[in-house]
Amino acid sequence: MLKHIRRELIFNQTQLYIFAGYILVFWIWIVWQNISPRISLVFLSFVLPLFCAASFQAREEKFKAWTLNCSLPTNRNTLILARLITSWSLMIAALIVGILYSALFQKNHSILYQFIQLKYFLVFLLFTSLFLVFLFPFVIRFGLSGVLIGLVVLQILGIITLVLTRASGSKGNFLHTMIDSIINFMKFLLNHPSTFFYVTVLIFSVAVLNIFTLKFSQFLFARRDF
Amino acid sequence: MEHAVQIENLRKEFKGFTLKDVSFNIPKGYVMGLIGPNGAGKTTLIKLIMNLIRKNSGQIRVFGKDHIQHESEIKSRIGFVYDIPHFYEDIKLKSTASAIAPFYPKWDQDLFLKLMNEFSLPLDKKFKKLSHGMKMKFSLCLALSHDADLILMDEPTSGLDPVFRQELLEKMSQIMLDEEKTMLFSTHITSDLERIADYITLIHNGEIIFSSPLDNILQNWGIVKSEKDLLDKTEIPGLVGYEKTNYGIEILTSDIKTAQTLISSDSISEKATLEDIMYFIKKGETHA
Amino acid sequence: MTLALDIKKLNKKYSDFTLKDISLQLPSGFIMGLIGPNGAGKTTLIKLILNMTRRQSGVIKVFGRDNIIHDKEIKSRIGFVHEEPHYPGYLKVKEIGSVFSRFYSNWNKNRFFNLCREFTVPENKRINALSRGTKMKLSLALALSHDADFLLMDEPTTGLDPVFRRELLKRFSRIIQDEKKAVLFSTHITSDLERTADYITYIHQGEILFSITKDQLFEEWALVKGGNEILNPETQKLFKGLRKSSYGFKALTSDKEKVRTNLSGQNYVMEKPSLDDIMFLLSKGEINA
Repeated sequence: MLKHIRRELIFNQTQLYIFAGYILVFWIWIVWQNISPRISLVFLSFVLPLFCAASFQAREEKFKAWTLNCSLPTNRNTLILARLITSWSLMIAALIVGILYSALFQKNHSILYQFIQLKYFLVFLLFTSLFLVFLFPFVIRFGLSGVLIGLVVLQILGIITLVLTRASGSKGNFLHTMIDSIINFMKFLLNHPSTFFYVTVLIFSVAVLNIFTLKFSQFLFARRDF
Repeated sequence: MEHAVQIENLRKEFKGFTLKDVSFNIPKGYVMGLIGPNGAGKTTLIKLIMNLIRKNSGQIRVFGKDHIQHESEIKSRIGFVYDIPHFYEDIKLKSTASAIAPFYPKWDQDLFLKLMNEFSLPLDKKFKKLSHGMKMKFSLCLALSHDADLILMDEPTSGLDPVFRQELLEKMSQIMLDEEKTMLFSTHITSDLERIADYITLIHNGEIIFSSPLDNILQNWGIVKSEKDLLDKTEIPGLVGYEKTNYGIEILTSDIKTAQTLISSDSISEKATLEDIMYFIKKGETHA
Repeated sequence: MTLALDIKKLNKKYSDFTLKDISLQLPSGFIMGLIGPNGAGKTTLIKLILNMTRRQSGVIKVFGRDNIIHDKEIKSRIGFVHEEPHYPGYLKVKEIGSVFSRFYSNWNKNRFFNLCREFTVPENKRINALSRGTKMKLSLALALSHDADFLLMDEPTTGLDPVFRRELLKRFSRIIQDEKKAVLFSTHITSDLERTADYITYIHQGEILFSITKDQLFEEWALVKGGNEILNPETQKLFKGLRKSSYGFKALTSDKEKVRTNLSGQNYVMEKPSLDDIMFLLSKGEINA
């Protein structure tokens, strides 16, 4: 597995430099602007998978490098596992950068204190895993162009919903309700007391989500013809 | 005779094209050339062996083992060169090599450096800065650096000048000297094959037309030329295709010896090159 | 005899490569093949003729007209094919045909679609979905669809199967029959040239080593093989390229008669050289100036 991770890191070097720069700027900005750690947590769990998982897949697609990767002495399942592990390693690394920065340069060390708590760390993992469960297999099956199309489709659906609800004259609308419930769910998770039971549920959920992501992605990747 | 690759009843369906009933073997220690028109299925065949494309049915065994069940093990012994570059363009050559080296138990770093030097390839350059010929050379360099037992090449000489092609062929002959390695390469430059191949497989419209030793082909196939319209009077044995020219008729037969005895008085016969064979097979199609 | 192409003392300097004093002539009604190792300057030369890059000095005349002063007029008469065809990937084949039709007054829509059909280029497919060989065939179809007087092509046969190549070369031969058109193409597949070209120009490291008719080439040049005892500083001067092995030498001469005179009585063999032999010995053999 190590040789796989090394391969992913070497092949995506240029992307990693951009990523490292971005993460550094991100943390500097968060601390400077005094942005709440919670918001940074949510933001990270959305942005990191895009950077770490989707962009690697996009590069592979751009250079048609799957021909190379799939011709190496390995099998496709291992390639996907390697990609997932590398992505997670980078995402955790990005978090650690933030924690260290906070420890060294942030007066109130709010970020450090936040993420060092098991509950918040696990919630971060959970949010990230939830996003990953949709993004990772989707990118593997449909590629980056699929993601772009998907985003456009979502936007169109959003617009249609807004238009329909405005036309029907009702005050609230489906979109608002959905977004509100998502935000409420996230608040609930963040605010829930850190009981043993809760922590166990979080760990279990993260594990299940990632195993599902892995298996489903492997299934999709195995079926592709290059 | 041991076979490096055994293919049986291989089938792959695409929209608008099907590879069907493909069966042939590549004997160990020999060079097999794969020829056929554009779109005949050469690249598909090589990709099927490497499991880049999933087959619909049939069997492929490499080194006696099923190519999917023992995929990883088999690939550690295969060197590959594909027709379209498939490397990360913004990464340096030495980095790419360093990334894949650990996957091959028999990777020889000294040999790799030696080959890079021989091919005049700069280690520190990014892949996208290379000319097409150099990209091919790099691919080849990697394929030769881990003592592969099977070397698969899809049009490795396309875009390379004749001088380098000759050097390449010489290098390939050198590699084949130990009689342990096997090579399969597809090309449009049939004159290269006539120089180095032991066996030739011709694929056309997704089907194997023949797979035989090159010597047999060159001895048994031939062109009969005549001013008279031979087809009128005689049934030419092994007729594959013909062309009416300003001077008369040219006929390709897969059994030149018998054909010669029947019509020696009215015609002259010539050796057929691989290119002639491909040409007349196509002609044969249009007349059918 | 009109000259389709007349180049005199052309010079082009890049930072790491120079095209030096290039002079060549191609009469109308003939086919010229351009050969040379990768990086010798073939693509640069073709780009200069098309005025895609600026020359330092020299004259290029196409059908008697300066290629810079009469740039637009000349380009409307040239059908070109580049080594790596670059078209907007999202366009369909038939759409690129329509784009080209705007630039060429002699555009023949029917011919374009007929050629696409003959070359099996699917007219409704997007260009980025085509294989390399098919893209090349599309390039050829475009170049052949506006009744061009001069076909200028950079490796038009790379990646194409021998059958297609043979038909294509026959087509070129047919095109020049009226003696008003001309064809210049570079290629690595020397057997194609041996079959079709009237003139052969060999470029090496930015210089033209020879530019003569194929007949002349095979009449005057020869492959000389013999034992190493024949070689001495005097005899080596006879050869343009020489390759020694333990069994003997293989050398190239541009003057058969001279060799016959100087080596009379010695044990050697003279053969007709293939273009591959010529290229190999000129670039890999020890060259005599």
